[in-house]
Amino acid sequence: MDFSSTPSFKGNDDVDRQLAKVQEQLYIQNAIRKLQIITDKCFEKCVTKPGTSLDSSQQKCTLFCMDRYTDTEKIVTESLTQRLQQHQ
Amino acid sequence: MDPRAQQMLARTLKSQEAAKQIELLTETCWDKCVGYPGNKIDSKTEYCIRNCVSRYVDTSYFIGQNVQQRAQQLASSRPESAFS
Repeated sequence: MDFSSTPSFKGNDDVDRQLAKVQEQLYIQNAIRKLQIITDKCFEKCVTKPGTSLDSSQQKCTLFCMDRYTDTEKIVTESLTQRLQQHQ
Repeated sequence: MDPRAQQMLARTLKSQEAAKQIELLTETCWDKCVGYPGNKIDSKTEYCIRNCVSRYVDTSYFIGQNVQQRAQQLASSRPESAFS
């Protein structure tokens, strides 16, 4: 591969690397937090009466819940973008 | 820091802020609109989520305006009453 067109000053490289690290950290943190939130929300919805095990209906509910939470996030992102564009 | 890196950092922070806002709104509107999870989001629920987001933004603007008004009232009133 040819990288000759990319400016590669030593200082810039270092800053780029630091920034990439920050972005990666944020990405991981966000993913972990999202997992925690989904666990919290789906536990609340699906495991209303905790028994001796996670029974099949609770498992089924949890699987639906995970997907519906992601759907909700998609709808929220879309509507928020639309709404904010409207105002400006 | 060079301006290019500064710009990139600013963009990263801004997108993180947006991600946080979406995260918060998703939680809020999920709690308000979504019942027992089924195999899809029905149209009624979707309608509720869309309204939830829009009204949240309205509420945020409304509160912003009100706080501004109150601050102006406070600033234009007599100085001694501003602290009473």
